Amino acid sequence: MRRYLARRVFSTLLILLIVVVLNFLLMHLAPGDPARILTGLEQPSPETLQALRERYGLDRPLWVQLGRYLAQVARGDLGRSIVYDQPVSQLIAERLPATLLLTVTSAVLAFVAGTLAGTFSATRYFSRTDLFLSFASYVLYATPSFWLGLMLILVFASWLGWFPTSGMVDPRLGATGLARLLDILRHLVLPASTLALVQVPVYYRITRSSVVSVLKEDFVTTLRATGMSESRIFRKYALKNAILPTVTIFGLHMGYVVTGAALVEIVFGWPGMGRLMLGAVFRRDYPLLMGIYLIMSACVAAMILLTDLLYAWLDPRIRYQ
Amino acid sequence: MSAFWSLFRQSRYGPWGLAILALVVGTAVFAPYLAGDPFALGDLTLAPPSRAHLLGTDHLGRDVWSMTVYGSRVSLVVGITAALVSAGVGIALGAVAGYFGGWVDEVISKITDVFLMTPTFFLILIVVVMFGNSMFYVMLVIGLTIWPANARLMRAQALTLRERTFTMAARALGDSSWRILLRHIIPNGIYPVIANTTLQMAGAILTEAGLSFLGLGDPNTVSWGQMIYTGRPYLVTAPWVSFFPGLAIVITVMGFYFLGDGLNFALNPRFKERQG
Amino acid sequence: MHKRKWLPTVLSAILVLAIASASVGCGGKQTPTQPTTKKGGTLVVAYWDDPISFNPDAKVDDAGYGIYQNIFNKLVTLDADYNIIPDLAEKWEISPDGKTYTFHLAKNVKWHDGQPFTAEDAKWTLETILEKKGQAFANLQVIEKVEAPDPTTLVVTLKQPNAPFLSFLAWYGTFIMPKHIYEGTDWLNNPANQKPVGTGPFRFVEWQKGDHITLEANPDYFKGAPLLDKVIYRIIPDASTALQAFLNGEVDIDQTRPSLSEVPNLQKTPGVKVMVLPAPSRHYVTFNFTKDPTRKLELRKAIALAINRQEIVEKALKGFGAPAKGFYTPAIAWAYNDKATLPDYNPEEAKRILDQAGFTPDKDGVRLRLTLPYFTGAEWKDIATIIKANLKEVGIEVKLEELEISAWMKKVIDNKDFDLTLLDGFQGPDPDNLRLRVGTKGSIQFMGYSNPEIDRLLEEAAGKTTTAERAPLYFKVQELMAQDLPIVPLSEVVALWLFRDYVHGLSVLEGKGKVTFYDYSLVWLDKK
Repeated sequence: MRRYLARRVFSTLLILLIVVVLNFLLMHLAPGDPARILTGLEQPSPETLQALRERYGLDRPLWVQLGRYLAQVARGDLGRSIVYDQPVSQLIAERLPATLLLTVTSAVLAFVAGTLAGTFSATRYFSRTDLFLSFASYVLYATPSFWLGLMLILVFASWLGWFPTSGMVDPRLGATGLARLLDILRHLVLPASTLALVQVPVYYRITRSSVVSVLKEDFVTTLRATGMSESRIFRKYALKNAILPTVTIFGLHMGYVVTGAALVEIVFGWPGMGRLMLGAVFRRDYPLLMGIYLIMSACVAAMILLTDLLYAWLDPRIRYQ
Repeated sequence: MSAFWSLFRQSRYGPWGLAILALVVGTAVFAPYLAGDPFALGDLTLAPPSRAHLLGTDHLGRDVWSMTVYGSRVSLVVGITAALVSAGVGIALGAVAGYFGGWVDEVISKITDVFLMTPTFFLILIVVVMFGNSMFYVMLVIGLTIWPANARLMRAQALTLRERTFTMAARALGDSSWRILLRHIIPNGIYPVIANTTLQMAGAILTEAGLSFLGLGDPNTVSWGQMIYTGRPYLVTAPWVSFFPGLAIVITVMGFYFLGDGLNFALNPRFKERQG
Repeated sequence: MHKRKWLPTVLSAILVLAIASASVGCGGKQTPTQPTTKKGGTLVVAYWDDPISFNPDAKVDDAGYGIYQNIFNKLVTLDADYNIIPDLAEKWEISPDGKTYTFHLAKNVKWHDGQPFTAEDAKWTLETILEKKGQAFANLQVIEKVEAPDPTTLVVTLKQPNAPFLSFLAWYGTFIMPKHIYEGTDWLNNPANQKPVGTGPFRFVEWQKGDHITLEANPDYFKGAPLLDKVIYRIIPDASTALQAFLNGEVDIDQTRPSLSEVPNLQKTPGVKVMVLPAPSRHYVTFNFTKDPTRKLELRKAIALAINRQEIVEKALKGFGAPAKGFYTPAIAWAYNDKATLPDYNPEEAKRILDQAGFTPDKDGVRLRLTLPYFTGAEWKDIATIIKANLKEVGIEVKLEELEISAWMKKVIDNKDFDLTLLDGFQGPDPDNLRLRVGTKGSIQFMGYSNPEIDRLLEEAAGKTTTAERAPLYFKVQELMAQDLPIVPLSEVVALWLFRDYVHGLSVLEGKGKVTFYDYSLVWLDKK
């Protein structure tokens, strides 16, 4: 097991490195010059441009910039944002909690709701409820998240006035402590619901099909033959086996969690990484872009790694491949 | 073939998917007969649905019905092309990796993992923002980021298939590796990829809509995602502009899902068992 | 109708007026004269983006500009009608040769950290902008030297007389910054960029990036303490979401530039005030002068005839603003030549000119193909789409390309890879702005256009000091522009103000002539 772990960690890190390098190259190949954009619409003097370039190390050859960057990252320093003049790690640290709050909450909600619905459906296989839920999951899966978000704002914030339209807190309240927590929760409802609703179908389908197939397994038939009650069979034996694929999907899913939330963050004005990312792209803020990309890739990589390890721990055959 | 067809018909949603997509494709193909010029700027702006304008007009006076009808062309082209690019790359790399094994497999698998770990939406975003938002770039870059799923499927197939008797027989007969790949491995292992491709078409359509929502759609074309984007400021006063293209997306994407599930049911024996 | 009922009303009115004028007479403070001002309250403003930082002069920062106006002051500033009004400089004199400006600064001004403000701060700020090439560098380059003979006097000497100088000083990037905090440090990295210290009506409290910025009233503000307790900027980048928040009562002012299409509905909404005001900015099309076919005058003439400016105003701008007629902004009336005009919309004439110029249609009816890159923004997209449709009518096929600003700059400004493009921009505060746009070396002139006659006239006009001398020169420039068509103006831009009716004291209403655009020092809230 330990050798497997070591191998997987090593290969993950290697891949992360490749991801970062490729991304670096890609971004620098693109047209657009950050020094230029900092000077605004007016044509700057060549001296101004040169001064800016020197300041941010943009005038060195590409491979030199790359080398310096990698050395920096190895030290744990993600560089400074060209646009905000602040350490990238600080900018990310300011926004990351908000994004995590949103995405983790919605992922958990989706997992719970989807799994419950999927199990419910599977045990009532082919019934009207099952067909209805199945169809609903297709519809949700086909719905663009940003469109759903707009609809929810319209209905629940504008027409019914139950929830706030956007943002994370109501600054007018200036709440602290518990009141602040409640304020945040109130603001969290709509965006988290939006994001959760579009993820539910994934868990629903996986759970449903895996529960259904487990229920058809021989051992279940045997247990039934012994007279064990259906619900006991289900709870004690079937569920554990059926949940496995869902859990692994959850692991993989969490990795993409940060990226998936960006559109929803935009619609709801949620102060997370999505908007930071967009702004960074538009302004060609390379250090910030690289930093965000690195963190996101690392998240995804970490999740995949954990999932693989979990799988390997549960199913020893995989380790020896 | 007939076995496939009867299986397909037995799948719960497969035939529905086919029907929906036939409708969408038909709309795209026969668009000039079904609707007027989607680019024409009439004088009536933000008009609600009426006899003259079945689904109303947008803020520049364009007919929403015409735009929705012609929008199907763009969505289909984007979805299909992106998915085909993905399939092409995925099948090629997956088959080679699975069949040859060894260091070839290692390298290709690493490349696959690199792409799997890339937050694809942002990669697409970066490329589109920086290189230009023509439809061509969008399709290409979507296709080049989603192929890992196909590669993995194909690789798994290739691994199994290379141990099969007919493969060994071909090898014994002296067929070159490439020939074996092209004639035996790929044609026999391609089925899961086909099913997955339809799902990827759906995903590509949603991705394009997402890009357009951020304002990155190609302004020379009419696409559903862009219609939602343009209609957003008028959501309360003229909801039809955003609503109908959104509905069109949902229907089309569901069509692809249904078709994909049907194909999976008919083609993939393991899947069939799970469905019961 | 009872005949004598009007008498009490009239008497009351006279009484109120008498009291009002009496209170204006006493005390020179700039407090509102209505007796119903209410002290206290928090103003919440929907804002579209975070500033890059709180350094008001170093970099171009569109989002920062509005907020800086509440934290910092300039020497002089512009009111909502674009007149120059005093700020830190209470009065000033210009020497007869037009080269020396003497500013008399307000007394007893304190920085938010308690340190006294002196002319040294102003001197340091101007010198630093010039030395470190802050965003206003190009506008202030004409400065020769800056001296602070005593703590409340600032003397600026120019290299040559420059009429627009004062208006540039009042415009952007010229906020006075605290020397005692920035001197000797790297002004791009100073911690005050995150926690600013200014002289303005509001002090910085906190900045939660991406969510909100909080300011509180500065009780020692030299023009008088603000009536508000706090100002909070809520960052809501999506205009539709911001509008919803505004309608739901979560914000008092919507500064996120909502779409003009919402205006008719907003005007009908109770409790909401909408103001659509002319701004000295215009939308225009410009051409690539470094290559054909846009180099040909006939093509430009045809395009000017083929564009339906009325349609643009009605559809893209929802009827707000007016179709452009002349070659400068009518909002700066003294310099506007209403005789130098664009031809009226006439697609048939356009086709004729194109035929004559040799651009005949092929079998698909296409005479030629042009590219039109423009930068992101809903109104730009609409204008570009309408232009595309208009030009299609006369056989010109236009390929649109939407680029975000950085890519647009690279493509259009640096690489000159375009045929047509769209632009807008503030044409003030002085007609010398034209030099930036159509002068050969203008900093916003990237099209490769060069007309020595126009350059000569603009140069001369900048050197004169009175509007009477300068106006005829600018008139001639516009005539030349009408002949040469370096640009085809499309429409006059409007500024949109959207706020709740209990908000008073804004620069466009009660604060007219006293504060600059987004300065909320005079605001009070008339609600419980």
